[in-house]
Amino acid sequence: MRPSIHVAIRETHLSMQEAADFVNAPETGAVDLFVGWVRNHNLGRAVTAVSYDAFAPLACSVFQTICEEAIAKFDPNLRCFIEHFQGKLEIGGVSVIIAAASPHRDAAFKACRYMIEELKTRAPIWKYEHYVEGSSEWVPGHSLVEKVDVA
Amino acid sequence: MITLTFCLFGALRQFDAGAPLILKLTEGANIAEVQHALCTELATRHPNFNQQALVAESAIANETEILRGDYHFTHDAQLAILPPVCGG
Repeated sequence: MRPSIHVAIRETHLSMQEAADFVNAPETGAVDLFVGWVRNHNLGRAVTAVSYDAFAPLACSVFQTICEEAIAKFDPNLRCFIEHFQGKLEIGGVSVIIAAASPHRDAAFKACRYMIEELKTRAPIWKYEHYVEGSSEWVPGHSLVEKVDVA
Repeated sequence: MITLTFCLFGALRQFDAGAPLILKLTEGANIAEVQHALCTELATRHPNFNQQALVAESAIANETEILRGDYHFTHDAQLAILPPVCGG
């Protein structure tokens, strides 16, 4: 039986075709694909490239958990794919691909949205933006520190 | 004593000097104590280190999970310190 989940951090080109091929199955009539790529601006500054740092083992563990959550929440027959790039990308470079396939479009749309939103706040990945004027900065993000209630 | 070996990521990576950061701590140290020791070690290595607030916002993790705030370190470990994330 084919696995229903594929996750990876890659330092090579991410392929939309590979994502579609993985989630494709005779029983999946709906495929939703999210592709993130590097844009040429952020918060009013002209961007020339973005470098991505990642803690790959934990990132893949988080991706796997997110996929399992999506399957539990939206459709037990869901097929899920998450790959994220690590390294430097120029404008237009593909940084992340998420694919969700289901017998029905509602579950595919919801699962795909869920997976990208969760990835952005839970996966140990960081962006270092390079600007037109020559400077570079780390992009602020979401803290992974778990707040502990103090009785 | 226990030995905790850290890899640094994101905005903290610039302080690792290309090698893991190693702390010797008392068995049973908690997350806050480890964060404090990390800041002390980084300030020793880099006299102009001023990222204490970033360390406080950073999670400590192993390769499979983020350690909870009430975690206590009882043995040697390979760890990562994770600043706030922004993938996608």
